[in-house]
Amino acid sequence: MTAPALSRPGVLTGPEPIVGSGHVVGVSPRLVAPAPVWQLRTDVLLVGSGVAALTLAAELAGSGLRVHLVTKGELGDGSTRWAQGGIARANTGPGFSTGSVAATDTPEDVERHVSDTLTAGAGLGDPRTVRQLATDGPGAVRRLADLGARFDLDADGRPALTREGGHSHARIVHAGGDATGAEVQRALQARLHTSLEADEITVAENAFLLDLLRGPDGAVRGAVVALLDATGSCRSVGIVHARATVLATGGLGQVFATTTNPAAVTGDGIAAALRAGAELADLEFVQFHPTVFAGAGPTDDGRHLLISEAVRGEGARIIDAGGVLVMAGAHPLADLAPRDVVSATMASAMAERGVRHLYLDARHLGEPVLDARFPTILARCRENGVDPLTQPIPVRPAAHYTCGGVRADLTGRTSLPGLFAIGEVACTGVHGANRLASNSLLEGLVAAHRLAGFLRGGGLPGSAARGRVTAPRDRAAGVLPGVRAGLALAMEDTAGVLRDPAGLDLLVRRLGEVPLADASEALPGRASWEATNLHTLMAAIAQAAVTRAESRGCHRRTDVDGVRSGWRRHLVATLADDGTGPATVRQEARP
Amino acid sequence: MGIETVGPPSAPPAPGWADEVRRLAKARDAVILAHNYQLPEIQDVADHVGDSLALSRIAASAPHREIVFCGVHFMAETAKILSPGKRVLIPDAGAGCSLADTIHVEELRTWKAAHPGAAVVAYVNTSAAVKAESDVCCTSSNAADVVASIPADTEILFLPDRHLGAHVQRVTGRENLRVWPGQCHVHEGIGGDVLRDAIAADPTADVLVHPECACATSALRLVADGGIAPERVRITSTGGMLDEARRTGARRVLVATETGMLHQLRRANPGTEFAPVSDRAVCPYMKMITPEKLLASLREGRDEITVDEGIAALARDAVERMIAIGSPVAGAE
Repeated sequence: MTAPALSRPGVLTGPEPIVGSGHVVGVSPRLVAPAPVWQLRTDVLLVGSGVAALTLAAELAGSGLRVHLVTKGELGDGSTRWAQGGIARANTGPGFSTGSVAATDTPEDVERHVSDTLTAGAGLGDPRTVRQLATDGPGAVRRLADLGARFDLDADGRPALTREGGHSHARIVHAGGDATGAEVQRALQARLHTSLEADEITVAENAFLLDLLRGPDGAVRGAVVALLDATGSCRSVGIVHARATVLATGGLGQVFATTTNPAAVTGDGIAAALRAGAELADLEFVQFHPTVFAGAGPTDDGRHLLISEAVRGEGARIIDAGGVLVMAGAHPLADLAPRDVVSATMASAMAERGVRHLYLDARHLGEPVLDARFPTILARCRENGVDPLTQPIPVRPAAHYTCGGVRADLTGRTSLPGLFAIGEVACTGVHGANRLASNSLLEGLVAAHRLAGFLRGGGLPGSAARGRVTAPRDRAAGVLPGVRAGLALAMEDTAGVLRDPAGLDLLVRRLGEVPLADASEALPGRASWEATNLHTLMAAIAQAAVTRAESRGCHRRTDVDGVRSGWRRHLVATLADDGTGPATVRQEARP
Repeated sequence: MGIETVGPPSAPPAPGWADEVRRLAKARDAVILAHNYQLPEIQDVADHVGDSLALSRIAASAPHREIVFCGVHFMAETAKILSPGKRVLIPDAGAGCSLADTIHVEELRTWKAAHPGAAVVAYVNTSAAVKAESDVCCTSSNAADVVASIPADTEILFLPDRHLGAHVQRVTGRENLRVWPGQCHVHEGIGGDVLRDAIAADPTADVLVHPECACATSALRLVADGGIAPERVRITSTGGMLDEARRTGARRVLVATETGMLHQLRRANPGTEFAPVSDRAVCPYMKMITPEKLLASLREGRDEITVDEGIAALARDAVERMIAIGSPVAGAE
């Protein structure tokens, strides 16, 4: 069969000739699924149930718009609840609680938040979008507090602020210490339940987004959705007609074998958008967290246990099996260097030694410190047979955040009319080549608020046109779930923290050799759909990674140290409209 | 796969809608006020169309018992502040303002505490609570006059619009003016690149730019660089735009502000073609006021605006101080 292909074009009007594999990777044109047997109509189809989705749901409540939320597992299965750090917002004043005034509160912090974010973004952040994010930040956090989220307060009753790597100023609000995401998820889910009781929204759990539907005018007009049973098998497939379809499906951490993201984070929204003809951008920029627990496999929900940076902040150090300090000499801040530096140094040390993990030595911190500050980490390590008081903790870097995604502005508008993307699924130019800590929850809040305003104020596309809605392409194909684990390991080894062009060439070739099963062979269900989506995104990431011949932000190539002139541009991935290719990764200069 | 689908069209006002609106307004003894950025059908049914402050002053002087304000929340609030004895309705109290949202009264208190002795100049796009904490209000047409009326050695905190603040700073040359970093979702989207593209696409057109626009600085730079003749560009309030529209003989005028303004400009001068610099410059909050909601508002008497009397009194002082400065109020947002 002819599969739409993710390839790199032979000639690009880039800064220099592009040298690479030239291999074409066939990907699934449409997910294999039974014929639809039901349909329903709504104004807004909202896919996802993390911070962006639930904020949008809260802000559309009472607007008179019908909202139908679908989420493939249970509410809140995604990354939001695991966010540890907090929410960065310019420190312009207390904003959401009364209390004494601190001298550090100044409106100038908006400018500093902009510049810190752009610095982290390594030349690819969009200054205008970043300014929108920073300007709207204080209001976004205030609204979340008004919805019932309880942030940590200091002794004067003001929001307690913390500072993280890359921030020039303490401007991060947090909840429950390091449990900000859990509090955000709790508050928003409580609000959702109020909306449910008031019949302001309908919610379908275990409802998997298969493919987007487009009308004769090309606008996205809803989606094909599968209802699953508890095991992930397909119970039935139906059509949701919608005037606006909103992707709030999060990132794609499960592309890599080791990730801090839960099992649900398989990039379904990004892959569906690509199949529908939307533009994706910046997919090569995947942020890795330096330290997850490597002494056991993933948790039941697919995550690797994060060992917080704060453990290194207390004095723990990364060592190899022989006790050698890995970070010594690599950076003036040693173990407290920026995440990308620590991850890259660790990855190269692991490669040199031919090992799959290093160690975090926290033995000298002593029981009182570990017990008081990191009780969860201590308990989880012990459950897995590692006592941090007497043994170094096995650790390795893990995929953490997807900077790229579906191209959209901060109101969620994508390259396709009727299709919106908010939160981690979107690539708005806020993060550029690397995300500043604690900007991700903020982006979800701000984009959802802006989109809610847009949809409520007449931005909802009309549905007057009569006509057929169609899934993107005629042929369906899928990847068999059995190949997923091996590919995720290959992605981690080759397109992970460190990337070399020869390895990437082989990886692209291997991805191209993955057989695409047609409708007669593929068994429809969550496992195969996720494997298929992951395969598509692996191809897109690998093609982008092999094309970008420089090291910038969280994309690190072993053959080029640092950025190269002329590469301040984005790689944009699309599939050809007719489904026959040529699909492209094209370069686009930053204005 | 293909599924037939038929959706309900988004409804234009039903026949007789305007008559029914006018009949209900008369029965309630209500005056209908519509902002320049409202939907054309709302503008056409209203008793008065204008900018927020002009409308608030009309509200105060109108003989009616009730005011139905078709605009965003702070505007209806300002009308209530200036006419405390009247009932003020807004067809959708959820119609907020992205600019007013960028400063909370607690943030203003913090800012003031860090600058004791400074005078606070608040643009009319602010909540009543923020106005109450301010010394004097201003509009886009008189912001420079208001700032100039404050003794030169007094530090000024200007809020909340960064672009209007930069404009005032340019016009007055004042160095001790601090500007709150707020911006409006609509005007921030009309950046220098958008303006340059629009001018390049029609190099002979005249250009009107609202000072809240992110492109206001670029417009001046374009003039300085010879990219466009100075007499063809005006940075002015919506009221000023209307004056320009009445007197212009230009074939085509590019307008950098919310697209609802085009309706009034076209009415003022049907002989000139008025085109938006950005057709994305649509304020969703303004557009929350739909024909159906206006009708429901008149039928059901909602949503009523209330302002705490203590806050209203302080806010009224700030607005009246502006009026006392004496600049004719031709335009405001």
